[in-house]
Amino acid sequence: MEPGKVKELILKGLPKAHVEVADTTGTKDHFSAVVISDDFIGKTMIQQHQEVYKTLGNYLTNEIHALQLKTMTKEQWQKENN
Amino acid sequence: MELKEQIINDITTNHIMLFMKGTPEMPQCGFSNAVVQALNHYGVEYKATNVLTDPEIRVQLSEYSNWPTIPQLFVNSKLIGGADITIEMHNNGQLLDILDSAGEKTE
Repeated sequence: MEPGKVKELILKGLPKAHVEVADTTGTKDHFSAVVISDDFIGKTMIQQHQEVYKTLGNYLTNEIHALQLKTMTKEQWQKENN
Repeated sequence: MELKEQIINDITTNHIMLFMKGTPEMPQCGFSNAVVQALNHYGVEYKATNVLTDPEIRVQLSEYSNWPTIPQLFVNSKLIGGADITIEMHNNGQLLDILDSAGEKTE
């Protein structure tokens, strides 16, 4: 799967998110993703990751063998980048 | 015991329970290895199940935990996360607190 398709799927489920996806191995089945969204406010890390996993449905573990995931709210992102 | 019962039994009777690809001595996946290294860093005792021994383990486990990928780390019967969350919590110190709460830290 192309990284752009992964991004598209995540954005379809989380339209307000900012999403960056990279192919980590060049084999189109191992990806890393950063998802920044205020949808994550008040949620545990587990819940945040589960929300992203949900957007990928059965693609995850089939076409997508591995997904390194980092989720954060806009505020967390700003803190990390200052 | 049925497989699903066995999985739930492992999660609820072991303070620290890891489902992984391969074994702690010989992990078969970089993400599973990362969690093993984190746990080894604290010198805690844990039980590990190799999901590669039976594909059905993974299916039943994910159904129970609502978590699609391997590894999966449980402390006190609660899902902590996969590799990303475990490593992030290892880096920010939260993992130590959680493992402490499992009462299994040897140092």
